[in-house]
Amino acid sequence: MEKVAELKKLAQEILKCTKCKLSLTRKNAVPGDGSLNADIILVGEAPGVQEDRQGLPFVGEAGKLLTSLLSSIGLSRTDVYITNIVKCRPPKNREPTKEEITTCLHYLRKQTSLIKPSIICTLGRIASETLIDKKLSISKEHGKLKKMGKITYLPLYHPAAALYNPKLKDTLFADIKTLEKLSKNAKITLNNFNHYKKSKI
Amino acid sequence: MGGKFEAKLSDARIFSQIVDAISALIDEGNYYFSPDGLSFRAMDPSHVAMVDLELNKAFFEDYVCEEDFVLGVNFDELSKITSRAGAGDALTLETSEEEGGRLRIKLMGKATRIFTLPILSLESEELPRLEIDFNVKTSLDSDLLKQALKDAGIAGEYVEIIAEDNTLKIESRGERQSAQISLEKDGEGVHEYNVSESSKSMYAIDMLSKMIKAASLSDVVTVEFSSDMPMKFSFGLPGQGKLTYFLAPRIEK
Repeated sequence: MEKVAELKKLAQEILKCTKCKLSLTRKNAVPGDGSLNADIILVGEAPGVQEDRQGLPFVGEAGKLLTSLLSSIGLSRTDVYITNIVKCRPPKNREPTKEEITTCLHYLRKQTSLIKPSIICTLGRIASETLIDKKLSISKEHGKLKKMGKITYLPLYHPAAALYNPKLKDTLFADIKTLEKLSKNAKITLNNFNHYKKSKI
Repeated sequence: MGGKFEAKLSDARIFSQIVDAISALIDEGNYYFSPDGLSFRAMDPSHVAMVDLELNKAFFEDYVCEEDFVLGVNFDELSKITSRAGAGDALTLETSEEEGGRLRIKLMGKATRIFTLPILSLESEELPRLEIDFNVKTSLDSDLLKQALKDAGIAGEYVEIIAEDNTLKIESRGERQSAQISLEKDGEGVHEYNVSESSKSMYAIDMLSKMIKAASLSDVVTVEFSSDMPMKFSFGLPGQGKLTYFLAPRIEK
């Protein structure tokens, strides 16, 4: 099956998922959003209230900050793929439990294996511990690249944490510059040459 | 798909080679059939490479297509069937309305073998043709380029192609090895060599190696590129048909 079709099928599966109790309290599951051919995937912790309402990742205040961060390095949300470790909102925005993460993680693994990014940017402690190292300290390791297999990981503070802490916000804008350097070395596709298109079938 | 469609080829193996040349990069795609011939254009899943095929009706011994239609196929499935074509086998393609639409492939040699496979309904985004004015255009023996890429593949994963006034250099570098292949403008196997501006660009060898599989279809390949721009490989096919590949460059900071 074609990659795009497989990702769409997977999104449908996520929307109907009842594998953990978060399905009982969510309004909408949030599979992810962005380019299915992205070279960069951004992974947050879990949907919040706005994301749960709209079924899209990072659409609340933290989402606005994320969009600004991307924009500061010349990227738009459509240049990357944005998703979360857990696809449904934990009640009262609590952290997802280990069991919920374990149950949900195969969806992210499948998304990653289909999109085949060369860079994964983990947003916050939960995403960084889950995908990079369970002992990772985000306050020490933020902005430092970790190469694991074919994928380079970049742990960053979660934009929501930076909303109320101007120092963290400055750190986030500084750390995202690393992504700028990486993305300039990232895969160039034929879509980058769209402006040369003249004729159509 | 309403009108009659039937296309016949006396040499089934050339169609098999075309299918193989596409399936090296593409999993699924749509053939567009019209009374004048067929076309196919698709990008690989990573959008790094594009295949653009044009076959005029003259490519076939007999070609009847009463109205335009789209035929979606899985190339892995199609390739398994067409690869069964042997020397001297003829091939007929037909569409059949049974079971919601199937492609019937007939291989005729000592035995008559009939295969069918489902016609897929694939989402078809309109894929524009890439029209780029390149600074370098050279035509050379397909096998010469194939061997050069094999040589380069020994050393590294990427090849740097450098076009100077009189020499085309193909270079690769790995952690321990390097390779450099030089082809001279007036050298054996180089039929055309035009450089309007010296150019240098890097491409993934694994993708180029998939594209050069089409060397079995044509003795000569036309290569076009510019610095940090896509590379274009064109192979001429019978009946003024053409198989063209585009490959995005690798650009390092």
